[in-house]
Amino acid sequence: MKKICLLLAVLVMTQPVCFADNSVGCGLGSMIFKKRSLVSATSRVITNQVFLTQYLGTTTGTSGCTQHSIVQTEMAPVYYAEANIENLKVDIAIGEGQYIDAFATTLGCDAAIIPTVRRVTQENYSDIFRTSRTSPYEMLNNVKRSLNNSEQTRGKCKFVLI
Amino acid sequence: MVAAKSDASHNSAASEMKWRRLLHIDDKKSEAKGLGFFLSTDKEWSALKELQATIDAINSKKEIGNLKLKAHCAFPARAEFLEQKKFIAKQQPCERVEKWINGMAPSSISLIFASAYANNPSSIFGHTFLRVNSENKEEKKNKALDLLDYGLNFAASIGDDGPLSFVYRGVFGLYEGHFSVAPYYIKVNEYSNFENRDLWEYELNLTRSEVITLIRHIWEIEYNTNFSYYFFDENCSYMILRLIEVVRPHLNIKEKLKFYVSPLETVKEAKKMGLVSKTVFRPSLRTRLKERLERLSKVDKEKLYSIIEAPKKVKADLLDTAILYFKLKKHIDKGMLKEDADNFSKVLIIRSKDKSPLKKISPQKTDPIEGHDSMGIEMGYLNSNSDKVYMSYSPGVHHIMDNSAGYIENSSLNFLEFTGSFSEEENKFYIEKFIPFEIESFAPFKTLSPNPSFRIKSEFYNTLKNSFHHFGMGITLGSFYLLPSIYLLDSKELEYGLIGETGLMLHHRWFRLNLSYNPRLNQLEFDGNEYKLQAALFLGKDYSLQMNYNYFDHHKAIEVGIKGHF
Repeated sequence: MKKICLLLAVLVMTQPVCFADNSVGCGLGSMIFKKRSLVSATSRVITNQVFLTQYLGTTTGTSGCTQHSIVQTEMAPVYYAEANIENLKVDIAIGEGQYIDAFATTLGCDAAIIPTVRRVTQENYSDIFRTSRTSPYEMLNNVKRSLNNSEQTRGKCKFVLI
Repeated sequence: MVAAKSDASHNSAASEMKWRRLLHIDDKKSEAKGLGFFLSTDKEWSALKELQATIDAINSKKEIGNLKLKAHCAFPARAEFLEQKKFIAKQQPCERVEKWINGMAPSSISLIFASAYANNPSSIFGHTFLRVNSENKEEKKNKALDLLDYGLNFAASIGDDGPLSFVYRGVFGLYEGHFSVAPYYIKVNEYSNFENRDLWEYELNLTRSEVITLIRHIWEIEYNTNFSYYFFDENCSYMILRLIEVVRPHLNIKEKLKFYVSPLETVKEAKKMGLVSKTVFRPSLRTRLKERLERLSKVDKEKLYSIIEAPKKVKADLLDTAILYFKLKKHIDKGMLKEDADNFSKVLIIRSKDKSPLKKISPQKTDPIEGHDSMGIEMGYLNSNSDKVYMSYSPGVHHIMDNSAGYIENSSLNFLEFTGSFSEEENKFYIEKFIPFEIESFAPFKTLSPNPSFRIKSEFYNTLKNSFHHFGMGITLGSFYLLPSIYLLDSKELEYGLIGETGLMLHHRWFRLNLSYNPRLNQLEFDGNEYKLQAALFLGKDYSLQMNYNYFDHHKAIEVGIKGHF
């Protein structure tokens, strides 16, 4: 009886819920997309439309993943750029924020150089995001180029080699 | 050197709480469903037989499980327990397991609570998952690096089921629950940016070695078995508690929980048990925008509207607010900003030429674990046709007239509320009413982050013979709201109609007052005016005095009671 009542209650609460799902990815990580928890089922559809992460599995195959979705260090900036291009756009324009700091870390920049990375990327904003359709890969390469071109950051971040 | 152990020592180890937790034994049976989890094939399965079978499997070096690993690698947490007991020799490290764990570089763990967002009904119960805090971050002391940690999530594995089947399967546990791992930035994007849900991060005081055991145990669950996923009890939060119990076997969190496991309740229990060492609030995109808007002067607001229409150089603070606005709008519009896209780009370019630092804002919200408990019991006096005493019970979670600290202001999420009454005059008990569900939200409408107000409610009354169901959608401006709704009334016959509810809501730390005027149309004919007055006086977070007055068609009803949350 208890469960039937709950069932009735939830029926009303969860409509409309959509579950389109075509998952790609690697290892245990692919299950992220196979799964829907009740709590976020509705808007996850939105997530899928905006996120580029699903492309990643198909474009990079599974080579970028170590076993079970832990991202290999050298692939970390690529994954990060894919998932966070919108957040990075904002942080780079403003010249600070958690997203640019974490991005710099995936690029192998030390804590001491991060404030300079923030400034250099902000100064090069228009080069990094040339159009509103700049892809995550272009963005990543543009950031690397900016950091290489600036004397203050050249050679300071381990994974900034084009 | 493996010491020869007698059956007696095996017996005593098998009855230890830790071993029982590793096997997920509840009462006598294990809650694990996948048979790969059980190495003992004996019909009369027991914790002892499983212990002996695990020792045999490890010693025989045979390959088992979904990944065909040596037994100590398929069951690394069990192997750790058996090594500590000296039942088996120290095993060779398992490359795959170690690589996986080292990738997360665990130093501590946080319990993350994704709070509900009122306008997203499927989020209403909240959600919990774990974040493995990496040691790299601790070294660098930069909060931003939280984003690079990993989130461990337990969720139902769902296919292409329609909503009916989805709910049915979820309630009756026909889904399999599985763990997944994803960088925390993916979780933050999901919850904080796309779903408008604030995240609360509770760092647990588990030691590094406890965290590693916990992760090893996740490995052995994920690759050898599965659990049924029930939306209401054996859900995401339930599994997380079970994991914590594996490393702290003497905590008995489950006993403290009610018949459904609400994510918030589990966080509260963790706090009560002294597991929480630090709390961090990560406001959602919408919360941050709201806070920035509230801090703007009238003049600045006008300027903000103008730069959204036609971007130009203004002070950085306004540009930053406009950026948040466009970002939120872009999420709402599913990534397509259409005509605003150019303006967004322009504002970003203007901002990139301004070196001013970001003005820090830190929205303040009451920690949800400081909010009232979820189960409500109210008793008091009511008079509708005759004098009665009543008692009502609601398992959760929040009613608009409850103290809203830690909850969403002006909202209700109430289900399975049951009210019984007794008339002394007639010496008779009545079933006064039953509310299967009541969800409402009256978030004030803001030009830049518009929210509709809504209510959806079902109510059975008159000893459950009649029922009233209504659905309304409207708008709240400041303290006033307008909520037209349609209703279905199952009385002598099925009737339908409209209610044009207009109301005023006032609230303060210590009281709340809702007044409403509700002209009603029944089958398109005017049916009369209804007036409602609800008042509450809060006596701390869990107790309140409640008053309810209703007048409709020369019929008065009044209720006065005291309500407690437990």
